[in-house]
Amino acid sequence: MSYLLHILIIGTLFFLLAASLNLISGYAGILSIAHAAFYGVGAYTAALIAPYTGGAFSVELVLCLGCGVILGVLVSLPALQMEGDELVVATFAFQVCCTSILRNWTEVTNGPSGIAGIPPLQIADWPISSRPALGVVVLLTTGILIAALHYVASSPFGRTLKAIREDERLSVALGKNVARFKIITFALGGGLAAVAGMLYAHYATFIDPSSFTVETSILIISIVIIGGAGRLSGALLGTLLLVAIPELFRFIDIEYRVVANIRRLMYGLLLVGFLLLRPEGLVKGYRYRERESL
Amino acid sequence: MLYQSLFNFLITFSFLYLFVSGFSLIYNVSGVLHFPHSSVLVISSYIFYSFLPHLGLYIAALLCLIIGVLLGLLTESLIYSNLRQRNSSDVHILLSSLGVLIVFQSVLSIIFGDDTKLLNYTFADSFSVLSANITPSQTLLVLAAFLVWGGLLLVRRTTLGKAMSAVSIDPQLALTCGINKDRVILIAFAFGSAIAAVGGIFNAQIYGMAPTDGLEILLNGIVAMVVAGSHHPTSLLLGSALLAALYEATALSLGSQWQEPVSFAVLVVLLLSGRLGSLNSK
Repeated sequence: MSYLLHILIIGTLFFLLAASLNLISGYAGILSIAHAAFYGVGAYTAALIAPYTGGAFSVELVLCLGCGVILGVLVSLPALQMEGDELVVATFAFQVCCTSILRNWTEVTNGPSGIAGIPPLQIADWPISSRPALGVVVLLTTGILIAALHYVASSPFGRTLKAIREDERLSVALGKNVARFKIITFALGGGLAAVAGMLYAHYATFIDPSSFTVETSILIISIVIIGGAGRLSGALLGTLLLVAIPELFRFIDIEYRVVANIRRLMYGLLLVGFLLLRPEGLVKGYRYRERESL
Repeated sequence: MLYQSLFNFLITFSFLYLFVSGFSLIYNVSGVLHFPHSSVLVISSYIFYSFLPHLGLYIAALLCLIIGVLLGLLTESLIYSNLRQRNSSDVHILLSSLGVLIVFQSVLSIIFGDDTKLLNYTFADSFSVLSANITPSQTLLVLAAFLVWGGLLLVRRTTLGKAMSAVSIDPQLALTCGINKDRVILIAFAFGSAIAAVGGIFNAQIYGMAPTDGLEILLNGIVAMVVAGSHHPTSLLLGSALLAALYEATALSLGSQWQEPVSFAVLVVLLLSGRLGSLNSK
């Protein structure tokens, strides 16, 4: 039962991560492979401020969300001037750089040893120390954020993002401030990923840089693409396929290290397989602009 | 100290050039940012590490080249070529390259584990020049980098080199001129992967290897390509030299752990200053 709860909590967090990246890569069509960096910044912010805030939920939520939003804006500013390969390379470099900073800035992040003993969250002086209670908090917080995300995505804002994705020049011609829309999208995506990081830090009580690497970013973008880009239901199905089901491998009697690598191998193969055989994903999402045939 | 730093710079620069020359060749001709190129290099290191004690230097090195080339050819013909034929988007081709990177990395981790492996092998004693300690492998690495540079300059003058340029500039026009675009792309993958395999052989001897090493090599290679500003072998040589000099300066002043953030800063500055030269959407 405890293990099922663990899968539920991790799956919920990855659903939040995939849904927030879906806003950037699915709705706005901006391919980013730096989402684990936002996730990591949220987790480390929570771990570092927890001794001062005592794990107060509202304070941590505001601070982590704020950090994610600020970082999202900072990433979006150079991203405005880039497209295609340049943008992917820039986000990839940002991700590698963030992981490197988490690993090497030992005075603050404690380097590869990570930060242990993160205190539990507190809501109105009530510590959420048991796993079922934390599961409820994670589910409720994610539920509210996903509902807000769904509202934003189906509002005129979301429709404008789709218009920008389909034809940026036409959107400009229609008087849309494309730059502002892209900045807000990155800010929202970054902020929500940072909140997922905060919840993860308090759930795991120990974090280290290995959870926030390029591989995690590729896992999150794989969830979005395999589920169906630009569809919230796609993010949910993608999470089930790539996060929840591979957890069952743990029941096979082999070393944990090998299990972790088999899971990684599985999502690499699934990503390539889907791109070759069903590029629109499980729920017929956005296919991205096709090449001109030669 | 000064001479040792100078020699370290030569090593970093040569290794970087061996990676970026193949990566840039593939990108220039096919338009694909072939992320698993770094995995081909790391896989070659592991093959050299595994087979050297059993098969000896020459056969192990030959095996690295063959497997490296095969990996490049298989990735192109089974995945990228298929996606191109289906008129897939550039984003999907790029994502597939990330998927292949993860597959290669995971297979390495499953077989060899995640720890760093070191190859305790020297085919001759190290020697000192101007108080700098130098191993024969390091000397050969520098030599190999300049040989690859000369070789690529020569290839550019051949019919094949011109066909590669044609496919790179305008694939559609190249096709109408009777150039077999797919074959030229395959040859670029074979050449590029062979150069990566050579890099892998030296990587095993000089630095040691871990499955995740590819990501850092990849980032440095991309930055060197952007610094170079074009895909010309000499530009890439200068780009690699500039970046290697910056790395050595960073290692001396701040510590080697800050090389990646410095890489990223250089990349962002170059991208923002509009110096996209070698990295623009095709």
